[in-house]
Amino acid sequence: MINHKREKMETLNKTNLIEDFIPYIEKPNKRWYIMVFVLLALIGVGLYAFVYQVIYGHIVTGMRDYVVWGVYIVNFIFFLGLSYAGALIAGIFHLAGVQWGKPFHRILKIITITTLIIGPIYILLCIGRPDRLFNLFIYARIQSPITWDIIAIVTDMFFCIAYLYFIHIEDFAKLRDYKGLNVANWRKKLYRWLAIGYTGAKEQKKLLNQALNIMAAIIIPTSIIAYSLLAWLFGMNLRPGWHNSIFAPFFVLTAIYSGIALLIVVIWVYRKNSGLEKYFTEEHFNYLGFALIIFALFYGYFSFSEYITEWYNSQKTPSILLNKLWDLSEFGYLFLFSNIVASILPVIIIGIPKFRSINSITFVSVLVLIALWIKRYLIIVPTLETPYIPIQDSRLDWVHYSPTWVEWALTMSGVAFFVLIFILMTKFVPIVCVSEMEEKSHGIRFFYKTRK
Amino acid sequence: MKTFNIILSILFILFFADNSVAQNNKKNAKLKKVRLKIEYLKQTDGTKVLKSKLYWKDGKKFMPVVNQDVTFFAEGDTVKLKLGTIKSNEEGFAVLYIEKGVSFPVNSEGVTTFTAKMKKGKEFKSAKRSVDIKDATLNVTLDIQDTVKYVEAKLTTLNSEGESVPIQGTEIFVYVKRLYSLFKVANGVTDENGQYKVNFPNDIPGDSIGNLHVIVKVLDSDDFGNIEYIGSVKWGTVVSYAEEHLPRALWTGEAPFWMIIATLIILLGAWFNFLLAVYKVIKIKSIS
Repeated sequence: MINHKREKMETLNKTNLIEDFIPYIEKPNKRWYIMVFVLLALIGVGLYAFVYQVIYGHIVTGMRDYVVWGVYIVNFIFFLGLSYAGALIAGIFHLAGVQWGKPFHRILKIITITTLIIGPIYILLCIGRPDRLFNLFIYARIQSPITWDIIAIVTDMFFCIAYLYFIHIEDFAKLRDYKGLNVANWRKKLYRWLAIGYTGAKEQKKLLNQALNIMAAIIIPTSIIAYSLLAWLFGMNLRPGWHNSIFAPFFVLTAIYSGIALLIVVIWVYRKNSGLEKYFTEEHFNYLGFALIIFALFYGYFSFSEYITEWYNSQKTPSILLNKLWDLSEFGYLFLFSNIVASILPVIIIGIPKFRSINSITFVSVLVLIALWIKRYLIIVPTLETPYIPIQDSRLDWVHYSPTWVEWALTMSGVAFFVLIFILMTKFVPIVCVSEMEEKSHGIRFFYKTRK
Repeated sequence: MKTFNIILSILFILFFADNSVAQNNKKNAKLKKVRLKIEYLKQTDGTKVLKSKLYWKDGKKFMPVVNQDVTFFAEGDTVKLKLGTIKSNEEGFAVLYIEKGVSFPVNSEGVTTFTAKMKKGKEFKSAKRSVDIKDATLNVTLDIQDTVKYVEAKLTTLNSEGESVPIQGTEIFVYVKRLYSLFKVANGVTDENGQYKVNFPNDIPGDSIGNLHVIVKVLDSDDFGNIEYIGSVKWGTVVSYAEEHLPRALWTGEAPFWMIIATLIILLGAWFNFLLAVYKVIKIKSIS
């Protein structure tokens, strides 16, 4: 176990923190260019796969008559979950005035926006005729869960972009005012334009805080509703494993769980590669690690509730589905991996002090992310392979789904795009909300006034 | 840290290691006995179908044998012809379609032995089943006499001199095709002329112009297998399938009122607050 000195969150009272980030914002080094090149290459492979799919059609994917939603929809749910989790956690941290959560605000909002952009792209990849996408808007019906989802995603997109911008205004002003900033002139002009004349005047600060409070307050219910709507998209289908009232809260829980896991991984990367140890301390990892334990326990509880309810009534098709999930020659290994890792592993490795370290918490987080991706896979693929009314005279190889290189290439591109946005954002602004970190602690906020 | 590494190694082995133990166990396990059925179907357009079903008994349950190669043969007195190899599907069926014009070897009585054979594999024992079929011809006439509709079927076969002779005492079934299954109209036995004649009802619903698919079958005959005729005739009552112009809807023509109101309240509430926040940020600029 790494013998760390116990790191405290000492940075809160420091001033001029912007200087810590100036080296990252100024001229990029060779390593940065190599990383960007590699990521662009990976995205390029994805674009090639996309063109290939458009030319030859969906036959180049593993999707057939039975499994019409494959890895693309798994990615869609996974990335949207991360997006809503980022928004939700950032909103709660802001409104509740969680001091130790301050360094994560910007990372959480970047996670939100990036994944919110990536997620819906997978819908575009999944539909056979992308040119007819506009029909979703033209023939929208208010009673359709798909319409609810479109409204929710579009609304969330507007809100999150605005929120991301609002939390940057003070830092844009700091960058504008920083003397000797060695960046291109267009970037200086851009900082000035984006800072919208913010000087830190009392009235301006008050207005900005009000705007941030409003955004944080509306982003929380918006995220919960939006991800619940996505869950209802499945829950309102009469299919085994989907037609389940627990789906919406389970989706929200899984989203926050994966969001915390991703946050741990991201801050670990920044800590290791950008020397931001004093911003992302051992205590941060411990707090987030304990959050992982709590969510792991909830996850286990929800999973058990979901499966035992399905199992107990012994209907024919749901029973076949459950047998497939347990059958080692079908989905058994994935099912066991996802449930053991997501429900038990954090409790053992983070819960027992001897095993707990920054690296072990991060390692568990990576495994949890993989397990939760697999969970989404297990929600979609086995159910589609087990319909109530089977297609007659279907070929065997049309029943079983196996993703092809095209789907994996596009999945990899999505991850590469996510990392690329982070790298670009790190070059453009401090990855930590500097101005917020410099603010004195307000203590716990109250949302109502008590009578004296 | 050492303990941690050990636990991680165990987890790694559990989740990612090759399941060689399970595979060895499988090798040593007893091979399962396969039960195999074979059916012959001749359609009146000349095509033939050999359908084989493979299953094994797991306790009290019958389980399909999936993804196994089944080879079909046709055999006469001297010649054995390999017809083809088909993989069994998820329900344990292996179906071979044979185009019209393909002739099979016969024995001195004009009988062909069709065989379905599955080789021994890693999981299953070998299995084989044969069926003897004498070729027969089913001619069906759909006609109207004095406003009475009738179906007349004539079943014949060739004798050793190559002459067509009627088949007596074989049961004939008459069906009409419906959406999910066949609706039985009548059944009876062929007479000494190999004929079976039955009146056809007038009140069976057809399509928008009254078309019906009439199906005449010989089912599971010990000597002739299955023979099937499918014909289309305008004998059904005309049903108007004109689509009612329903507005696009999930379960009602329009969204329920409460849903419209709830959506509007949520959206207006959220967007009002959003615009308020944007207004405050715009005001920051005006103050500067």
